[in-house]
Amino acid sequence: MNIDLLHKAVEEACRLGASYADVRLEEGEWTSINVRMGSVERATLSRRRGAGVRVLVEGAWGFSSTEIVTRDALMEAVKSAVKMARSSAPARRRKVKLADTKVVKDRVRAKVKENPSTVEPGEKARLALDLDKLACSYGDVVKDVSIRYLDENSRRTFVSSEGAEVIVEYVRVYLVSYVTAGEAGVLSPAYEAMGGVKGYEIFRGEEPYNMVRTTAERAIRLLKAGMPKGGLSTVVLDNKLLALIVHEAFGHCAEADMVLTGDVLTGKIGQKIASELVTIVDDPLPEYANGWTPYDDEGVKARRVTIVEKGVLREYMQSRETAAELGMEPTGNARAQDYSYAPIVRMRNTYMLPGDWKPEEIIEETREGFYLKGAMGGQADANGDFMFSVQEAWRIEGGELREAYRGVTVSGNALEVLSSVDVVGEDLKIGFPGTCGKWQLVPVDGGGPHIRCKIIVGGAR
Amino acid sequence: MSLVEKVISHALKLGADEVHVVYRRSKSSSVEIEMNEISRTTFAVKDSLRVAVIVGKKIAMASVSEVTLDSALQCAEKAYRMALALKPNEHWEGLPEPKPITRVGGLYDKRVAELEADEIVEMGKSMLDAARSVSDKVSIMGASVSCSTSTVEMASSRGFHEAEDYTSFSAGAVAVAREGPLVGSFAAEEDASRSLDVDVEEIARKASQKALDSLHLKPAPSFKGTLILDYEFAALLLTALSSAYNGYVVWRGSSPLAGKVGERIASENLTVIDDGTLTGGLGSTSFDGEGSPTMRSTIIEKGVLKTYINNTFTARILGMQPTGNAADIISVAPSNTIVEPGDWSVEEILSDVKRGLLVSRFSGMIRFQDGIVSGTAKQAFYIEDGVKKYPVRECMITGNLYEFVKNISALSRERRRTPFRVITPVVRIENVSFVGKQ
Repeated sequence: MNIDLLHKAVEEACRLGASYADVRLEEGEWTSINVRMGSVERATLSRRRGAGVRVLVEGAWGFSSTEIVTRDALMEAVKSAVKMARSSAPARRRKVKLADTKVVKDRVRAKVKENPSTVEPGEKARLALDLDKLACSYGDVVKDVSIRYLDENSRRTFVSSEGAEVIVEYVRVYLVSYVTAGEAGVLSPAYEAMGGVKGYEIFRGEEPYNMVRTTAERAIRLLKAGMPKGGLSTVVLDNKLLALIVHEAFGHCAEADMVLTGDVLTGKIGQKIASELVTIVDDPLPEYANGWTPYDDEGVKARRVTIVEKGVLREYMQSRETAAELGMEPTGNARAQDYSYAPIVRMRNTYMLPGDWKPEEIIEETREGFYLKGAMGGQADANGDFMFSVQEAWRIEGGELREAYRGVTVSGNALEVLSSVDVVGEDLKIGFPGTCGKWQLVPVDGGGPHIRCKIIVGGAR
Repeated sequence: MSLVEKVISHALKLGADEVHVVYRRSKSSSVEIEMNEISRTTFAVKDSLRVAVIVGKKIAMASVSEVTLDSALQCAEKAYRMALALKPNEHWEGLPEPKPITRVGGLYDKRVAELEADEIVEMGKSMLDAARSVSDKVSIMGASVSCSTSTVEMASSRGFHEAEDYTSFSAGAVAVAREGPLVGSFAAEEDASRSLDVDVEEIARKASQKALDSLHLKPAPSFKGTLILDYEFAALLLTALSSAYNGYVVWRGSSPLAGKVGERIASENLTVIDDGTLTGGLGSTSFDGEGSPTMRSTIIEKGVLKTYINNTFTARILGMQPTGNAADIISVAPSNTIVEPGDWSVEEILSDVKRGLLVSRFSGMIRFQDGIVSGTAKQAFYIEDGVKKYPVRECMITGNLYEFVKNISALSRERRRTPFRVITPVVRIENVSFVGKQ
C-alpha cells in the first residue's frame, strides 16, 4: 500500500470537515500451531490487512474501519467516519481536545535475531510435537497436554493530518504449555508461557523444554496437595504473581480514562498510597518485552511513566485526549487491538523496581506465612479490590518451605497490599507475556522482584 | 462457480483430499461511551475467508482478510503447503457427509440491519440519561450499543454449500459509584439479541443501581449456608459445567464427567438442554461450524447426564452421534444452554433461606477440570431468615462445582437470557462455605 494514499485519506477527511484525522494501516501474518497428545490438532496461517480511520469533527470522534483496503474503500471509510462523528457531535457535552505532541516521521523495527517467518511451519510443528512428547513422557498420570506455538510479523503505519508518519514493525513469538495431571479422580491443571518481542532463537535452546518440565512437574506435584487454611497472611510473592497484581489490581486504576471516570487513584497525585519501598513504572521498554511500544497508536513517542515513586503517586498513563482533559502530557499509552479499534489508554510493560534482598533471604527471614508462585488469572475492581488464582503455594514455617497447596486464591485491596510491603527483592524480572483485555486485547508484559506483604489467602475445601 | 467453490476446486487440484471453506462478511456500527460521554461512533467492514485443507490425515488451516479470488486461492495454497509439512492427526476420519438443513427462524431482523448511525447515537444518549437519572454518584465507565449484520457462507469438498444471514444487537454498561473518598465495585449489565428487543435504558439503570448498591458494604460473617445465584452468576456456573460436558474436553481426559453418561451427576432439580435451533437464539444457527444441522439435545435430565455435546470429529472418537455443536471441524462449543425452570418464585426462593448470600456477580474461578470454585462475591446481599439484610464486601465463596450442582435445592420459574448464551432461572444451592471478614 502506498503511504501517499493514507495521506490522501486524512486530507479528504479534513476536506469533509474534520479538524483532525488519522489513519492506521495494519498488515501482518500470524502462525498458530496447537499440538495435543501426539498430534497436530490445528495449524493456522492467517494473513490480515485493514485500515482504521479516526476523525474529529465538531469536537466528537468518528471511527471507521475496513478490511478492504482499496482506494475507493478507504475513501468510503473516511466518509463514514466523518458521518459517524457528525451524528454524535450534538450529544457530546465536553468537546474532545488533544494535547500537543511532537509530530514525528520515523520507522522502527523490532530487533530479533531469527525472524520466525524464515522458519518452515514443519519445523515449528516439530518443536511443539517434541515438547508435547516430553510432557507425555511423565507417564499415565498426565491426562492432557496442549502445546501452543504462535508467531506474528506485522506492520502498523500511522499517518495523521498533523503530518505524522510512523511505521512500526513488530515480531512476536510465544509458546504456551498446558498439562493436566490426574489420579484417583483428582485433576490438576498447570500452565506456563514464554515469549514476547523476540525471534525464533529463544526456542533453539533448552528454555522451552525447561518450561514444559516445570509445567508437567507442577501439575503432578499438586495432585497430592491439599487446600490451605484461609485468612490474612504474611506472604512472599514471586515475580510472576507480583506482575499480575501490579498490572491488574493497581495498574488499571492509574490509566487516565479510569481516573477520569473516578477510581481509587483519582485526585491522589502527590499522596502516599503505598509503602516507601514501592516504586512502580509502566515502560515502553525493554525491547524484548511483549508490550514493547516505541510509538503508541496516536503516533506519540512513548516514554516511561513513573506511577508510584517510593510510595507516592506521581503520574497517570495518558492518551492525547485524557492528557488535554487533565492538563497533563501524553505518555504514549494510547493503544488499539488492531485497525478495527480506536486507541484507548492501555498499559505496556508494568513492573515494580527492585530492592536489595536476595529472594532466598526473604523466605529465610519469614517465620510463618506462604510463598505464592505464579498466577492463573483473576479479576480486579475500580476500588482496587482484587482476586487472583495462584498456581502454587508453599507454607513457610521458621524460614523454610514446608508443604505445597493447590487451588489457592489471593484477594485483597491493591493499595492495602502495596502499603503492607515490608521487603523488596533484588531480582527484577520482566518477561511474563500476557494479553490484557479492557474492551480490546493488547499484548502487555510485566514483572518485578520477589516481595513480602500481607494478603488474604483463600482456598477451596 | 462461486468463489468458495473455486477455492475448493483449486485445493483439490493441488492434491488435497478434503477441503472446508468458511467465508464471513460483516458490517457493524456502534456507539461507545467512556468517561460519562459519548466517546465515539464506529463503523466496521469485515471480510475474511478460512480454508481447511486435509491431505490424508494432515490438517492445516489458513485465513485471509480482504477476500479476492487471488487472495483466496493463495490462502488455499498456503494451507495445502502447511498441511504437507505436518504430521497426520491419527484421529481424523474425514469431513461429515452433508445432511439436510432445516432453517432456524429469527436469526435476521431487518430492523437491526437498517439501523442508522443517528439512531444508535440516540440510544447511547438515552443510556447516559438513564444512568444519570439513578444518581449523580454514578459514572458510566464504559458502555456501548452495537448492531451488526453478517453472512456466513460455508462449503466443503463433500458437496456441502450453504449460506445464512444473521443480525445481532447488543448493549452493555459498566458503572462505578463514588461518594467522597469512597469508591464502589464495578457493576456491569448487558444484553444481546438477534433482534431489537434489548432495553438499553434498563441496562444503564440496572448497572447504575447495582453500582450504587455496592457503595456502602458491610463485611459478611463466615458461615456455612445457602448460596442464591442470580441469573448472571448462574449463567457463569452453567458455562463452566458446559465445558465439562463438551465432547472434545471429555475425549482429552480433562473432564470429570468422562465415563459418566447415564449417571446421576446433579440434583434432580437440574435439567439442561443445548439448543442450536432456538428461534432467535443468539447461539442459534441452521448449520454448525462444520456444516452439520443444529439440533436440540437434552444434556442433563433430572440430574442424570444423558450425552456430551459433539461435532463429527469428537462423536466418532467417543462412539456417539454429533449434536450439531461444531465450533469448527475440530472444536466443539455449546449453542444455547437452556436450564429448565423450577416452580418457585424468586421471593419464595429467598424467603426459605435461614442464612445465605444472594450473589449477582462472582469474581473468581470456577475450574471445570477439578471443580474448584473460589472467589469473591460482588453485588451480594446477606440473607437471614428470608430477609435481605445488607450488601456485603469481600466475602469469599469456596467449594466445588460438582458438589454445587448436586446441592441445588430450588430453581425459579422466572428465567432470563444472558449474554453468555445461557437461559437460566435463579438457582439456589445448599451447604456452601462463605468466608467473610466480620
